[in-house]
Amino acid sequence: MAFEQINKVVFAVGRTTPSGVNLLGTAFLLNKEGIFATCAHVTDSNDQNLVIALKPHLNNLNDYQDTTDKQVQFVNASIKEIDPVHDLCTLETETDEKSNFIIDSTDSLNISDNVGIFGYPHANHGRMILTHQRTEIGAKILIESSGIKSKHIVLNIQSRPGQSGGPVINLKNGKLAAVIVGSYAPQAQGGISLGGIDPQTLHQTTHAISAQYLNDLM
Amino acid sequence: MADFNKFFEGDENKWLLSLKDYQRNIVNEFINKSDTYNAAAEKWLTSSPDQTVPFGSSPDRINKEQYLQKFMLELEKFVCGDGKYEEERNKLLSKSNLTEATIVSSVSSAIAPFVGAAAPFLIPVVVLAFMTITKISKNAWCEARKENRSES
Repeated sequence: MAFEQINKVVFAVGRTTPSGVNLLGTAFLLNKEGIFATCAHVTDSNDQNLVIALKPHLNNLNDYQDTTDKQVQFVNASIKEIDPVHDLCTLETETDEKSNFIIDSTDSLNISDNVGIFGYPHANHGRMILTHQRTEIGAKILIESSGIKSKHIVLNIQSRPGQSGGPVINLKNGKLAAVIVGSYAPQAQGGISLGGIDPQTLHQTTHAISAQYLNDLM
Repeated sequence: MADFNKFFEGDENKWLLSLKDYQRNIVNEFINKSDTYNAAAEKWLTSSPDQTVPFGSSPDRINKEQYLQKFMLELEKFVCGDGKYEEERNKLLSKSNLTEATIVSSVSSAIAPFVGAAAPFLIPVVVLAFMTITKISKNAWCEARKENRSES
């Protein structure tokens, strides 16, 4: 499956500040004009100065992405719908672009199936490099949030801050199976940070929520 | 101009109809698992997946435990007649065919910038707060809020 043009539908989410754009995570265009999806936590449930950011010189994913190029274009975004339990939200922009993503679910995936993931790892350090990773499903799990359980998958790969909100594509059928939400940690709050890295997240257990919950926000 | 007090009379469950299906499903689960509507609202405000470190990269994540306090303070100002929201309140109450859904949406939009959250995020919390107010009456709620503040 080829993804050269994925840069036309997967972008960074940021917040404008007096000193530029702070990158917050990843978002992707849905099959509805101007509507993007990302994780609720990426936005901090606040859409003040929220933007979708892109590199104007990136024509396709096979291009060399210049790490010194700090030029960023952005469009303003506001939260349209937000579901903190499933950690998903949709963002509304004034663009008339849309993707051809078909929203599926983790139900279509089996253990060891291959998936493609896209996002902006290390965005917390200001790095804005759209990155593709290929991995496999390690487990299908239920995760609780305020007493409500929802379907997730474990991706056997290490992910980093900035990848939240990134799409997980089922390579068998090309459909959107899940959205990356973070990494397993026994203690989600109050971890320590060494050089900006929480050691308890240095492993290959990435969590992604089933994309089916996005249908409720459409 | 519509009488604001009238909307806080009758069955408190009418406010749930202001919610979209996904919000109502979650809020109903929270109500079933909580002793009070406030506790249900707190669940909405602080919800996040267990055992998962979020991989957004926001440097200044808000302390969600403080949301409810900030929210209640602003809601009290809107509902109980504080001058801060006089313009928004008058504009809302002068609308023809005013419905519960319009009130919830307008109040969420008015207080959102002062709470530091997006209006769609606050809509279920406004509904749950209005359910509390309807249960005990607007005047009693405003009085109780005032007493709580003077004691603290």
